[in-house]
Amino acid sequence: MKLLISFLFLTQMAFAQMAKVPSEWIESSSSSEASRKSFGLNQGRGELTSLQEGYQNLIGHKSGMLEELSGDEEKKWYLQSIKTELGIEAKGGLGIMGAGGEAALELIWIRKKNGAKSFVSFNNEIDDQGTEAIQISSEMSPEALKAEIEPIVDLALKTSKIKKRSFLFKNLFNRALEFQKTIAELENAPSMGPWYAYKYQMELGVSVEGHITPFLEVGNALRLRMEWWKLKKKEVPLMLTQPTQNLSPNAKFVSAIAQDLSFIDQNYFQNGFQLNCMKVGVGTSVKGNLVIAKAQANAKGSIFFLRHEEDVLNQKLFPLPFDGYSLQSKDQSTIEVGRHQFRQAIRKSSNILSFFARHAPENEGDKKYELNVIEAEFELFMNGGIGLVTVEGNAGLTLFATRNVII
Amino acid sequence: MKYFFVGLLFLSKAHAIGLQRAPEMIAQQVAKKLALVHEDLNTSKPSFIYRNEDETAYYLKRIRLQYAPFVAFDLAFFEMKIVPFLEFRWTRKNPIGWVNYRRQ
Amino acid sequence: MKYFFLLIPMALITACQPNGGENSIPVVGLNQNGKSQVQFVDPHFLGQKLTPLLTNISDKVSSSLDAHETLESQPWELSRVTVGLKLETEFEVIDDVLELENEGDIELRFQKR
Repeated sequence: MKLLISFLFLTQMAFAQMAKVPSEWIESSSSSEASRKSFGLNQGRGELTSLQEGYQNLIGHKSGMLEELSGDEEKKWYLQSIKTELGIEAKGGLGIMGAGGEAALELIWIRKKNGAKSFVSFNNEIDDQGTEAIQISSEMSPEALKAEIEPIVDLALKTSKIKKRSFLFKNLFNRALEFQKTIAELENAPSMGPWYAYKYQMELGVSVEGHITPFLEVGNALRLRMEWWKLKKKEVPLMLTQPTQNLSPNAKFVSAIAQDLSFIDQNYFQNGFQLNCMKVGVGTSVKGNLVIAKAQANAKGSIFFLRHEEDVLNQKLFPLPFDGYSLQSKDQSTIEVGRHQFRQAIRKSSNILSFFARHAPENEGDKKYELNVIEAEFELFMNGGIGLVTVEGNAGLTLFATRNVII
Repeated sequence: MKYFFVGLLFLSKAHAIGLQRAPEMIAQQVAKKLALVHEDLNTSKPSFIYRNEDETAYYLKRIRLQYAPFVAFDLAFFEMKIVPFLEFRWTRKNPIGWVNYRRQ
Repeated sequence: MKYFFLLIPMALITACQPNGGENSIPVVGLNQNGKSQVQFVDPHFLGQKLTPLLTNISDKVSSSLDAHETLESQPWELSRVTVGLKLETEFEVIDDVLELENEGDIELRFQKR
């Protein structure tokens, strides 16, 4: 009997201890006391030390595996980057993503060129070989919009199992028309601090019949993402729009988010990471006003915000007559989230991402791949709170920390 | 003992193929998708979807198509399978004289 | 002696648990009921299985892309190809496709030099 008990005891001891995030990080509590506790500001740091070690072990494992990959130096097309995911189980345990569920952290490793730091840039396409000039009116005509959509529909049909062109075409066209109305208002959103909207993404699931569905629905033949980027005329100096009297509700919505992002505590870290990008899923209310979508799967689109590296604008936060946001769930029910509460949520989520950015490894000169992007996915709760998404949850907001990447 | 359990996995449900075939099959699927893309994808002239005077505009710059998985490969480890999916991303350059909007 | 036979089922239970050694890697996901589950795997096992697989996939896909000539067309240019690998325990086949839910644990992203 003693031998049996000893065996059982030793068996338990052999099981690995799993690093856990503080419970406040995955729950909707946003009180300042809970936040301070979870960031170790007035408690012992044992829990966070264990999490740090577990997190760094997982990254070390991933990194080690990537270094084992053989090279493809002679090929034109090459393995330029690798994305891996970490997930959080219901009780807070952190591990690599397995079967099913939402990932909490997405890590992108980029190949270094000749051992040097990698700079991945989406260059300003200013050369003369660029695309030819375009329509001159301020709004695209329906015919031009149809012509814009057609190649995408054809491509989707040719390369997937979608059967009915007319359904897909009509669905996409309607979505694009809807977007066109929205961005006219986004354009007029005044500048509010160092954060600003730079692209809009529509992410759609397409069924075999050509119907547009929430992209996470089962049975989709295809997931389609379309990105509209904001451009500016090369020679024209950037004139930042100042607040005007009669902003539309949607323009205020976008400006308010940009303004509230300024409440992030820390943006830069010693290892080179910066918190400089955010994605928020949006939907529309019955009246056509923008709302924050609780889950990405139910969003009509996403707005991406970028942070200006240097706050050379030295802007004051202009008072913006905007009280709060509507948060919409899958069944279209909404709750109102005041700006103070939203700012607290932003601050909490950025502090969480800061932990993972801060404890990411330094750039090691001899490694082939470098961890350059950390995306943290957050769940928005219907009481206005926020937390890291667990595998059982639904992500609604993404914060990005990047280094050596020009977006 | 572990080989006994691994052996059990071979009796599990169908639809899964041996892992050793994965690289070839995935590469073939990539080639198959690309073979369907004809040059006439690019015949239409691009336009701005919205333009604010002569200063800024929104422009359809990128498309990503992600295809449903086509097969599953048996990892031979506690009934786990590897299911591959493919995504293709197309990007186009900005119109002449236009750059990405960035605060300088 | 009687306790020896009790050890056998305990040994079996231990063998059934994904490797629970001190350096095990936790893998989290959902079970069939949509609830979170955790398994522990030996990192050496994962490395042995996945590294050669990823290397071979990378090699074959790069070659396949290099062989294509239609990728230079304008104005839409193929700028990236991603091969995502999801770990799954169960899946359904609907309309001759496997269900597409979320993205995978590993995505290999190919670009042109």
